Amino acid sequence: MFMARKRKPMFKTLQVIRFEIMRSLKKPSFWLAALLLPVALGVYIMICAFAGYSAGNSIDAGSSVAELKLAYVDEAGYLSGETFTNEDEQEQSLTRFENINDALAALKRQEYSVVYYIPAGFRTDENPSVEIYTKLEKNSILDNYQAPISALLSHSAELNTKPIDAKILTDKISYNTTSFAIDDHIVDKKELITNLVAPVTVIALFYILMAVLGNRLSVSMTEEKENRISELLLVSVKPIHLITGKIISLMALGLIQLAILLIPVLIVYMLALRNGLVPEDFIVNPSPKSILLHALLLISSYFLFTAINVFTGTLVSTAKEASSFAGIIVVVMIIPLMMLNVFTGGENSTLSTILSFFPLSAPLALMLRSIFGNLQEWELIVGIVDIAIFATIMTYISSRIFCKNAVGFNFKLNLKNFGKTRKNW
Amino acid sequence: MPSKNPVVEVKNFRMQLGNKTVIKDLSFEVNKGEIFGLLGSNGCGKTTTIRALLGIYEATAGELLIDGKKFEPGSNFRVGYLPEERGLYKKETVLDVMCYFGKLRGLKKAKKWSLKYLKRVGLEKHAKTRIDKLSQGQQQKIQLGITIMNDPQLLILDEPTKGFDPVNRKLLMDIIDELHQRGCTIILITHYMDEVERLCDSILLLKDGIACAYGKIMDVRKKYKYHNLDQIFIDVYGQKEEANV
Repeated sequence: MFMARKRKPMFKTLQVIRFEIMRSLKKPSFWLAALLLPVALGVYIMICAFAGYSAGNSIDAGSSVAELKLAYVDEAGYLSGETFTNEDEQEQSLTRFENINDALAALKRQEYSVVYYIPAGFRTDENPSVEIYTKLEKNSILDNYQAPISALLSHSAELNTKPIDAKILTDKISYNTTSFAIDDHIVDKKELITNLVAPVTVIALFYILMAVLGNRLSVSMTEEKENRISELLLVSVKPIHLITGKIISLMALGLIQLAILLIPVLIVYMLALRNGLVPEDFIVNPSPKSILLHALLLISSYFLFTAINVFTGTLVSTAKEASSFAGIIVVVMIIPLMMLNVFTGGENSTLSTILSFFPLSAPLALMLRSIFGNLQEWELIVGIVDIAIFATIMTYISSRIFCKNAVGFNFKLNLKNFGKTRKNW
Repeated sequence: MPSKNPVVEVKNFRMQLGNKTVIKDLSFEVNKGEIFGLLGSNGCGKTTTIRALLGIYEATAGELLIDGKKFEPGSNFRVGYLPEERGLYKKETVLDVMCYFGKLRGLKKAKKWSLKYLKRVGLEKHAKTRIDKLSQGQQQKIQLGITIMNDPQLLILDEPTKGFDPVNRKLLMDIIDELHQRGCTIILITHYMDEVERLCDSILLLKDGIACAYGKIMDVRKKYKYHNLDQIFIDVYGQKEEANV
């Protein structure tokens, strides 16, 4: 009648994973959350796009440049003045250079933020264009430096009646922006977008995982305690196998939710690509190495986030307490976002380095530094290892605390008590 | 007949929880095939002893062995345990929960066994029902099933009839009988002396962290010169009350 057999320890972990995943997948709330997420994000993106469109218009009108040092070279001798009205309703002037090489040298020395170059053939060219040169302190595709020169050209055009003036006034001038990186090599927009794809995707996905799954993670650990199942479990499975199984299953559930979100996005992108609807600049092909490293960063970060939530879940007795702790963890982990200016500079500060290797802040610090282009590859690798090691330690500690706390039901964390759990676990 | 082959050995066991010494010095053995009653008033350390025996607590001192080794989940020796604090995953179905625990305990055909057990206890129609939709008595039947599903060689029942209705109490007694017939060793923690008198071969009466009475029921009766175990219990704990007065 009874057929019992000894199984390998990993078998029990797999059973925990299977049970946890299957019971979540059977819950309508999981699918509701998973399907509502793309809708919520769609609405969010639309709001952001609308806000961005409004912001873009205001930049074009001449804002956000009041603090910039601007220079120009007018080989065509077209401009009739050197001042324009900025967003503070103040007259702002540009420095004139006679020679484009001198102007670019000053730009590379960071004496100026932007150099505008009106070539000699500007007045007569079929398709007149203005070159804009910038020096990037960080990865950025959002800056729009077109407004000042556009204002100057319009002002000059209003004083004349030549064909070129009509083109200016009807906005038929093209503006070509060239950006120099910190090491003075020319950054093209496509390269910039390519470099940003992996880190921006990683930070977006990590944020989604934190927002959607944070509460579920810690609450899942209190269920056994609240329902008095722990003791029954502890004679069936070792705590380390139970906790490992829980963490892996929770991570898998998060990835399933991301897949539900990403698969439609990828399908839409592929269809748009096939039909030629994707702008040339956005047809990017990031390097496999970059994708791999950023995928590892996302996985290790999510592992850490899960492990910490499970850790707090083992500490407390009720789902309510667990939810409170989950909130605190999220606040600690998003500290780098609150200190954004530490990461936006071209140079690495001591604080940004510390935040990159302090395990709790490391995930977002590394992601932000990667976005702003000041993260070395070795730092990323060390950071990933650092995060993974800390998460593993948290997993082990959670299993020890679960063993002690599971049957105490009112256990208070006490270092003296901590060692009295099963030593061989 | 029980053989002189200890399945459980507890030697000089001491347990301190915080500042309180729950068990001072406890030694006993439970032989193979025996039904052993672990008795004592509330808070005297019975459950603590079982938790230490099952490795949930680390003993402050002493040795607690099952089949000659410290117990850990997944060992070759099969243990069934019905804890005093017992519950189930309330939002899951009966079959899912039973299969989960069956697989964790190495049961090869957990689903087949679970369905057979549910049929036996009249719950076959509730296999796909969520646990929280069952009555308390039905949930108790599931808990019992989970306890014995790995065909235990050692069955530990911590106040098993607490809260049980007469139907489930009868079911439990039948299960104990069946397993005993098959040579299973049973440790029974209970406050009901009639159950002890009817089922147990040996008992240990725990008081203030030490064994006050330990041995075959007949021997204990002889020592205390009472025929009734209730009277012995009152006698042992009455001394404490008198001392306190």
